[in-house]
Amino acid sequence: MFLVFTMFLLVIAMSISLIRMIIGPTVWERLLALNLVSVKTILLLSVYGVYKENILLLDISISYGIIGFLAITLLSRLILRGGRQK
Amino acid sequence: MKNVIRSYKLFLILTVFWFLLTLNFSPLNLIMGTIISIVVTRASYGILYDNKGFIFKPLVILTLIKYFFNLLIEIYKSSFTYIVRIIKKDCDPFIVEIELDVTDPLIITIIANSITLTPGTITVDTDKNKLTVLTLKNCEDCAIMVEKEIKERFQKFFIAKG
Amino acid sequence: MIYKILLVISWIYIIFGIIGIFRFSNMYSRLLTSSKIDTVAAITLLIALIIKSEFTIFSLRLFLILFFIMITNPISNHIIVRSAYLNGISVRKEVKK
Repeated sequence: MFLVFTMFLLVIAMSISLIRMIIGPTVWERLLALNLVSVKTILLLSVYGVYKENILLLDISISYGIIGFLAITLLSRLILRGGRQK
Repeated sequence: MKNVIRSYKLFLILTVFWFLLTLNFSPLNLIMGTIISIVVTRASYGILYDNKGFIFKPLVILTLIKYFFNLLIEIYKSSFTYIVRIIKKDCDPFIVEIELDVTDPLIITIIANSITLTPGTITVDTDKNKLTVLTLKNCEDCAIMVEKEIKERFQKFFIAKG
Repeated sequence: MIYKILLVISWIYIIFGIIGIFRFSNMYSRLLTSSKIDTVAAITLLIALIIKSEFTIFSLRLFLILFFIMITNPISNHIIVRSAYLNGISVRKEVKK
């Protein structure tokens, strides 16, 4: 029961930070919202794995973590260099 | 091959992590894990290992465990004050430059990472042993206070050891 | 029993993280607030899950995830703030030492 409500709350939090990603005035706020969504994806997958007692979902959550970390690092380095026109 | 023998600790750690992540003890998996660990150890020759051995000065494991629990306590303590700050809506960021006493790059990396991990402060940039920290208090004397706080919280663990 | 208390604490952190995104007007305060409270929420929730699934293979794997989050999450926050700072977005008040 507690785990189900935790998953519900995580999904609501992800959709609200998606709103921040749409209306955010600068690029860095969109990156911030991407970071929030990526961390909450890891949490959601691990809670679901414990709820269903399936160990393979925890593997998937580790790989989602690696993908999110690489995406944020590479995107912000690209923005720091000045985007595409340089 | 001699380099692999010299850096056997890295090889052991990589193999243990391989078996923790796969949890499968069939013979094909055993051979695969050993081969991949040898290749990674050989490829990271110039980065972590040198002719003389390990590049960074090694740390005591007991110090790291003590530091980890101290870090957890600090995180929770400062997160409560941060929630009060959200409710009251006072938020005025400014930038402090801090000069540390240690010069080892590994220790500086650990300290910068844990500064970012505690709520309310973020490390922006580092240059040798000078950190640029973005923090959140809005009085005049706070620049000195933040510096003293950080030195007292994190740095004393590594200074006392020598 | 004890994991339910930890789960309730993590709900409080998640809700305050969402409020913190929309409450401040300065960009750096938003960066500081949301990312930090979110990290604390992640740590609390993972510790609660470890306590719930006692000494099984689950708790080992969850401990690996906790270790991974504690290393990579500060780096991604740091690199976002560094990219904003070096691009010349000014902090409102600067105090040199």
